[in-house]
Amino acid sequence: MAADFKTAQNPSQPIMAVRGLTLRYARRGVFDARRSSVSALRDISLEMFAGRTLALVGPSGCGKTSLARCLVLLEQPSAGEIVYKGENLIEMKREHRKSVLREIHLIFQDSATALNPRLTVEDILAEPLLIHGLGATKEERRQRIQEVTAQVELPATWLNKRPLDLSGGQRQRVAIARSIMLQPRLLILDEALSALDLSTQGQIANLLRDLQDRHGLTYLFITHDLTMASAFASEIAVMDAGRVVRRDSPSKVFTANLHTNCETLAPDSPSRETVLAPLMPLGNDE
Amino acid sequence: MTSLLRVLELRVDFVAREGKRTHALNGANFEMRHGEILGVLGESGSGKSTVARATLQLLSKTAQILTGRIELEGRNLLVLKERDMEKLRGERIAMVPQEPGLSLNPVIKAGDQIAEVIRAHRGWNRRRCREEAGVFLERVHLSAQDRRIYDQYPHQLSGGQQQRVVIAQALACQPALVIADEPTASVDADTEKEILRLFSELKVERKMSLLLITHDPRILRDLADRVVVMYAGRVVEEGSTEQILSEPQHPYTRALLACALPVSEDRRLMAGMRLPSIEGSPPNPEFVSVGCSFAPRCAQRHERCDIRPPAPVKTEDTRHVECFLYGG
Repeated sequence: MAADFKTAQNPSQPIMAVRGLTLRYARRGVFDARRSSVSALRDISLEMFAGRTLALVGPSGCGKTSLARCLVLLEQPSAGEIVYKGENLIEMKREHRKSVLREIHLIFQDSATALNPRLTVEDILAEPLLIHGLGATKEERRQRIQEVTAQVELPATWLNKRPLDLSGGQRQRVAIARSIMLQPRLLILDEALSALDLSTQGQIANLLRDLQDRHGLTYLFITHDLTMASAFASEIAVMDAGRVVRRDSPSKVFTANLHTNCETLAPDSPSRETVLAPLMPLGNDE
Repeated sequence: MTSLLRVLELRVDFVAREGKRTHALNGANFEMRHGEILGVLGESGSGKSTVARATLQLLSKTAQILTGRIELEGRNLLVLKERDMEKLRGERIAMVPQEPGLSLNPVIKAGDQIAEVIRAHRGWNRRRCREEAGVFLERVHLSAQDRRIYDQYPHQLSGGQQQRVVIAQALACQPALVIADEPTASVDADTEKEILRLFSELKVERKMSLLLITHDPRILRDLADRVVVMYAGRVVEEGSTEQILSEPQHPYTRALLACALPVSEDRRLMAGMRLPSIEGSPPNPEFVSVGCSFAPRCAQRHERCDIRPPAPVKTEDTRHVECFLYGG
């Protein structure tokens, strides 16, 4: 399957394709030493196309965040493949994977815990360059920081501040600035707007859209806010109980029921019994 | 109708160790009636939560109340001794916090946490408190019959169940006033609907008086009777929910409502459009603005806006707005 994506530079090919991705967490009861597992993701398949936004929606606990963490290999998937520009991320050699992962970034919901409170904004922005051995001199790093802060409209006066001196919206701007320091191709936004005021949500969403237009960025926009998903994305994938149960354009997803919620979005979704099924021991799973 | 809660000219500063002052409330004024759901609407940093914590006298030690009164049923809470205030908290005023997961004790069973509140205020024996706690669990649609929810620890409950337990805890002593600070901010869309439905039931059945703090006007539409809009530590507009949400007068209220994306008809047209937002950010609370605090972000700014702050104007019966467009 991976061979099909060797020519991923072609715009009709997805920049990232996920095939049959499964993630199980091992668990062991307090009084019961038998090992069992919980399936957080079950046979997920998705494609993301360059310069476009795929929204991933679903109720809490459906596996949205697990998927996000898998895509940047913060979790080791139990099965399946993550094909990025024609290569399977999971099977890559370590050094090569590190350089590929430079192009994929994850932005978290809670910017207060995602940023080191003891560093200044300038240090936070310089850190990715140092980690990846880019920007050898201080002057080069400073220049890159200036470019990026101009792009995300970060006032220069913020560079000496620390994260907790900034408001939530300002911090999220810093988190976005940090993520584009390394010129990524794909940003995974895990409820990146959810903790913000409505007005600030609008500001940050517009900023993300500008960056997308300018750099052809691809977004995986994870949210439980259906209104935002429909306004922001070109395609919507609905998740429930660890599976993708529906994929469609926003207009199709919302034509049937405008005042909908996540549950009614997935008419064919597994019943409550199957939702509980992942708690069964491994032998009974699937 | 008599007023339940009156907040008059409330000014609160936070003083950091190095003497830096942050002005959280700059003369907030509003009134709330018995049996009413009053929505407090504003961006983060507008002083919504400070009002809630000042009412409960739970401000941090760095806070200074400079002027003002907070009257609950005619009694000024700001002059009460801590011992009297302790009695009022939970019994007359209760709070539903933003993060139910953090406010519940992780090592006490859910039901016992409700019984604890009843025991502290009523002084009944344990058995009677446990029975009463069961009644309140049922009132928030968590079945106490099979003891399942009662005997669970907070981490065994979902976010929605935890929020219900906290609401049951708040209702346990039948307080005159319940304050809910962004009660749906940390839950998903389905749980949010569930919680809001529960509030509207409790309002009808129990005549619950609720001060509902939120940044999202969509939550208030079907629930609140009246709305106060806060900006930079002041109430800039006050009126019935219909008046505020359908015909907002203050430019800030109008801009804020424009940010709430429409929930229906035009949804399909919006793809590719820019999302509405208010340019700039709220004023730095370390400084008091000379003129109107919203002026730097206002689309209808005028010279006079920078000279002095506008005074509240009564534009209709039951309606106030602080803006020069209406006199000021």
